[in-house]
Amino acid sequence: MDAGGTAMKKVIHFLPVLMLLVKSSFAHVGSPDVAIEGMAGPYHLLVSIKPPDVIPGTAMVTVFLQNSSGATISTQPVYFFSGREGAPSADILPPVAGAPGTYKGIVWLMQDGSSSVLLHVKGRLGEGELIVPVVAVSTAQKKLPASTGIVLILLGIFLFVLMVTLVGASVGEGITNSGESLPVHRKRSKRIAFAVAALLSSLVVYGGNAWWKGWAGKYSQFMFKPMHATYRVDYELSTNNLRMTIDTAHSQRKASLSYIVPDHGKLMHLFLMRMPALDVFAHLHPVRQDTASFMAILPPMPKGKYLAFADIVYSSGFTETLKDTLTLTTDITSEIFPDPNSFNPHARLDPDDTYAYALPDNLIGTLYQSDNNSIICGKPGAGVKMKDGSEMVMEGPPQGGFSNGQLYQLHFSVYDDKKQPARLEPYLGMQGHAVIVKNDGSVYIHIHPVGTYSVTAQTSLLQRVNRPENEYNYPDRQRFRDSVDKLVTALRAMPEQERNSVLMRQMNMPADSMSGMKMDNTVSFPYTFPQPGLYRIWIQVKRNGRVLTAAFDREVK
Amino acid sequence: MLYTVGTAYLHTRGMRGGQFYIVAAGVTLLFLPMFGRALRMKWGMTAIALSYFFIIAISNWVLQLFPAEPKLGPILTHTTHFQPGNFPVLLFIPGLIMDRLLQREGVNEWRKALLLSVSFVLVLLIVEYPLSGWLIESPGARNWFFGAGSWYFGDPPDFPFRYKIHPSWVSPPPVLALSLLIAIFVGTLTARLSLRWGKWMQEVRR
Repeated sequence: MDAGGTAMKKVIHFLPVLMLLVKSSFAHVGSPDVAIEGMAGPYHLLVSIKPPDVIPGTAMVTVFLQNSSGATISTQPVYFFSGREGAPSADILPPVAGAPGTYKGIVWLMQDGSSSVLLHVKGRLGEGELIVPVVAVSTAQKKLPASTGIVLILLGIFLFVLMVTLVGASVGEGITNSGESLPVHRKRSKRIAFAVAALLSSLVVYGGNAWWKGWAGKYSQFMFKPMHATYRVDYELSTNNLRMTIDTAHSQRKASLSYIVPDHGKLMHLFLMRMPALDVFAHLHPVRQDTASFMAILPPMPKGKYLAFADIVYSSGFTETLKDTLTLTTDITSEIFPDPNSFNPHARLDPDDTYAYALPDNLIGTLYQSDNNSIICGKPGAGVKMKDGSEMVMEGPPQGGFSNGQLYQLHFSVYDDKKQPARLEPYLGMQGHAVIVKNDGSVYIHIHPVGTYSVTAQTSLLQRVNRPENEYNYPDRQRFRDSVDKLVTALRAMPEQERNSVLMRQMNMPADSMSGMKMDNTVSFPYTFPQPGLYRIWIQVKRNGRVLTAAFDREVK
Repeated sequence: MLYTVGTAYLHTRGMRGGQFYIVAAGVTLLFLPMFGRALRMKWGMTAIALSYFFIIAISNWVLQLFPAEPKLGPILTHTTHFQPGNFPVLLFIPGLIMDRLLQREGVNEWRKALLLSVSFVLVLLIVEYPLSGWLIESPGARNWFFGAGSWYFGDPPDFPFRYKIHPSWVSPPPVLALSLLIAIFVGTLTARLSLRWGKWMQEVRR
């Protein structure tokens, strides 16, 4: 048995845990909506979920039933922590009047962390279930509407006056017979009672305010705070050795960092895009050095300031993107790979790392132009020539252009140099990858065509939620981290075919299938643009063993 | 409203801790003597405490007859009916003693307040300290009458201290003794205030 095989054997006892934990990545910046295309038994569903920005809160669930009518759909919130056993009974998702096949309703999410919405569909074709992962976090602190505030203040003043008058009257008129005038001493007591009541009522108001502020403070501590990392190029080792350190001192999830799990064989997916034009793009897979440190080898990249988006997935299914910047002070001109067998076994480029240059206007005359990783960004109506000569075309936008807040299927097709459909191959186990980023970097998301891939991830989550345990108990931190490291290292050392089959075995799929994933020349991604603006859409596919990157610019109203 | 705020601290599981007696004395003695005096009855405080007992007990007994299920997860304990609250505090026992003592007392209001507070705190301790242990630990309490099987749906059913007293709930004797003294002090002040309040109630003309 080779080294990889031995490592695999060592971690075999953790595989059941990992199988439960590997989960669809919905890491993002500023794009919380979940869009999924998948099968609930015989039913083909397109699902859009808008998670609440305050927990507890309600998620807005919209389901488009694609291949049937008249079915009944019900929803259940299922938490990773408590599983299916801990979910309340299902509620009917009401159909939308006048829109056949569309269902819309709310689901209460009471606990922050990794959750999901379990959809049950029942109708002519039988019954089916689909689980949609949702990351529930509080990201907003709501303000009291001004009108409500004014009404409450007026009512408060009224109550205050009422209370003081009541107390005053109770020691004055209250104990004097009707018709009699107040004796002098009662008048004095009444004045004292006024003062005491005013003082005590003020204290109550003050105490109430302090109590309220205390809770607001507790809430803001409970709010989700994104983690950050610092990047530096380690010139001592080589000019392209990138070191990343996650700031754990200010992290809410310091303890959870040991529980990150590989997403399709990689512990981290790092996307670098040069600012401000987003003209240079790299998709790297940094290698873990210790819990909070990672290392990657940079491909040839011109100097400049880069946006860095690092996606990680925790064992609970909680996903997170670390958004930071990184500055390259010198051009990196050639691929300098330290010898993998030399002093540092981690220091080598991950075989799946890729890079590309778009909009090469400002790179004309440089070596980056002649690099066949250069592409011309696709405008509406124009395809993108990719490095092997094939062309990618994006369908749409629909009539009237893209609007924010609406769920779209973004379709892409690839044609070879003879304009014939070009068959694609799985890249990291999927038909394709998309990175959608707004031109100012305020929106970022890394998505995959769902369907097969989501079904696999959902199978894993379903295995978790169907376990009899009501509460999830985490395994030992050190052992868990070590076993994940061994698994990732072993996977990285494998030839691609073997790695794909291992990943698929792990996900309980027959090695010779992609669970019905149809590989042709098209790839599509369901997505809801969260806000208006200019977006760049990077698409990565694989053909003839090469990863091809294309980029499209689209305006969203 | 004050009593409602106070009941947040008057849980069966707190009856072996000092805080329970301080809060119970402060809140109960603010109201009971006032009612006792305002009612102009020989056993006024007992009557009020008994009605409190039955209001709580009857709502507990009736509520659990109705089917209900939790609709907000995570649900760690599934239930099919409304869960009764705590078995009510037996306030009528100290109430009985306090009524009896007041009937024999003279006119000094501060003496009365002190007497009320001492008797209330000590009788409550003698009654509730052992009773709370029995309610938590004895299978005999897990029935519709005492409702000790009641459980919040968000807590795990196998919580090790569901039917067992957690050491942290029990104040060590010196701490408990100090708490009782504080309770008597607080209770004397509120009882004095309550007596004055009751006197005012008797004087109300319109």
